[in-house]
Amino acid sequence: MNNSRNVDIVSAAVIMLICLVLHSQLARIPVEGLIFPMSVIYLLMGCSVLLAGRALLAPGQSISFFGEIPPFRWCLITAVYLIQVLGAMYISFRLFMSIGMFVTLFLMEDSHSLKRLAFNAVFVLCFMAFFQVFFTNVMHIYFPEPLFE
Amino acid sequence: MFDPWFVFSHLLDPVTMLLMALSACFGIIMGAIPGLSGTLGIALLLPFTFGLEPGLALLMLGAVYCGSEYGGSIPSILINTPGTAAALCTTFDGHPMARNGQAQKALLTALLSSVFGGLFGVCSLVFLSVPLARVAMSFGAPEQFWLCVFALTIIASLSSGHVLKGIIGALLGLLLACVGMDPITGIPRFTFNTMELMNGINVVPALIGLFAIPQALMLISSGEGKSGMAPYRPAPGVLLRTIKDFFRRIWVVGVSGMVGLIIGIMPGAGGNIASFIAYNETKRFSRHPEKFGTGVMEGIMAPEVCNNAVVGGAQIPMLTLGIPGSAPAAVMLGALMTHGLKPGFALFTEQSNVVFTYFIGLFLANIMILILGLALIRIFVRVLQVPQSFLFAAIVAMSVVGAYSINNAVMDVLSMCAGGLLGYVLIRFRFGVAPLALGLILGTMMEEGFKLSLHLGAAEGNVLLFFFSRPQSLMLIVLTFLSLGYSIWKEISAARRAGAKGACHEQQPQR
Repeated sequence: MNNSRNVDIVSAAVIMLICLVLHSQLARIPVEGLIFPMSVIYLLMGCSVLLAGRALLAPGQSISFFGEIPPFRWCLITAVYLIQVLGAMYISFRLFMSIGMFVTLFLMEDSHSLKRLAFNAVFVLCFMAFFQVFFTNVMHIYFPEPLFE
Repeated sequence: MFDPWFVFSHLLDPVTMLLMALSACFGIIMGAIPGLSGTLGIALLLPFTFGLEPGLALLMLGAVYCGSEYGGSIPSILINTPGTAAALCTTFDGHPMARNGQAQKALLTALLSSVFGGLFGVCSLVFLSVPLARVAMSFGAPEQFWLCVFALTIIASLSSGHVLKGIIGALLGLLLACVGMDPITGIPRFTFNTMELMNGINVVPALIGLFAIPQALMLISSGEGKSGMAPYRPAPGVLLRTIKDFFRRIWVVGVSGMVGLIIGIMPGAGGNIASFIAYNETKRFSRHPEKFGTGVMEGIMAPEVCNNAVVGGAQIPMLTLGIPGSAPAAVMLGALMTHGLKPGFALFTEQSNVVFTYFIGLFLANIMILILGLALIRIFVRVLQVPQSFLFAAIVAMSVVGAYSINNAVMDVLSMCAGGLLGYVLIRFRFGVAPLALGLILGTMMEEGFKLSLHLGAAEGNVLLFFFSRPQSLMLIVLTFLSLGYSIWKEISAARRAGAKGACHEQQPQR
């Protein structure tokens, strides 16, 4: 989907769908609470129709979702990021943050060596120590550790 | 009540000075690394300021903002890659100057220009904020509503480059701001029956996600550091010669400072547009416009003075009206609200010590940037070689920790994460994140103004007349239509020009 025409038409359809879902959420709400979001939803629907119309009439330029990034690399690193965040919040903050950071560093490097891996491990450990000292010990912010509780 | 003794004793405290210096250094580094920005720096530093007094917290974030604008010039000059979007024009003359063996002079010119531009912006902030806050005091509910509409239309048209897409982004932001309990009726909206969404979407984690994660994801493209750096060899005597040359061209500070100030006050325009205008204006006023682009001092001074003057300009509407003038100012506004401060005239009367600590502190921060720039330039130059992989890992980790530490809530981290992915999609598909962010920030204020106007109008007997007949409202409506009309006209004429060019290219081979 490298053409802005396709992107705009799909975006308009997705926005329209979101509007319809949100519109259904406003059922059984008194007029007072409904009038502002409803106006925004109708405006948004109008704009998405215009966007689709413009896309059909005007020539499209090239748009790339990944830019210069290799798609597989982008997907892999984004997946690691999502697992890192969800794992840190629902399983163990320390474990998933440190593993996530280490794996990301490994995936983003063009070449690997034992020295680099050791350096990455030290970098991750320093970061984790900083979080422990500054946020937990000084600011008393305790990160979730359901696995160890 | 403003207490000068309190403000100065607070500012001259060694801890305050140290925190200010560290923040300025952090800002310079964030600006100096291509792909990162002041907005990201402010978003990442925000959680570190929670335990601090509001004046000092704002000052630290302000120092990051000022520092990042200067930092952006370093890679522009040395590697021909702008550190921030606003420093793009600095590459035109900065890099040729560095290639000619004058890297030190180019960096010193950028430093002096940034400091003078920053001071110009802060002075304007001090002198223009109070009168504008007085004007804001006369605004009622309909004006509050129309002001938000004006801000959203102008940011929608300026920030993404596509008016329609910008407006869609702003409307999506407004819808996101409606999530949670209705402030007047208390009825939940768009919560999908989940308790976590009852309180709505927390603005600060969403802003961290919107501004930090897309930038991090863009870093995936290049894992290694930069190459092709212009040689930097410091020599004695260059500083004095640069200062002399700088003061010979001091008129550039006036011209570019004014451009930066005016564009900075306009919501959403920001430093990137301003520095182009300042560069062109300086070239127009110059006696040797033909030399621009070959490595002249004025070519570095104009964008650098301008993008630093924008810092002060962008904060004038932010502090007085609650309308940020640039993306970093939008995050600053989120920080202001997190620290329990509400923009407007009350901020200047009830929290005057905080405001003046911030104003005078920004003045000191700019002077500190001058000292840091002179003393630590070698370190800032080395920062350009940090591998992108380390930056990515650090940004992601700091974003998670920052979002969590606001309320110790998992929901905030999830909204940061979702905001980040949404921001990436919006940037790639040319919707831009700034309109959505501003819609999210202004949504509550806009709905409040809208509903209050409806009630007051109904009480007065004519809702439409109440909405459209007040002089300030009328002025804002006219401004909204003018800005929208101009943006649409500009887009249509650009499309026509592109179409005409395309037709010419198609005809040429037939001949």
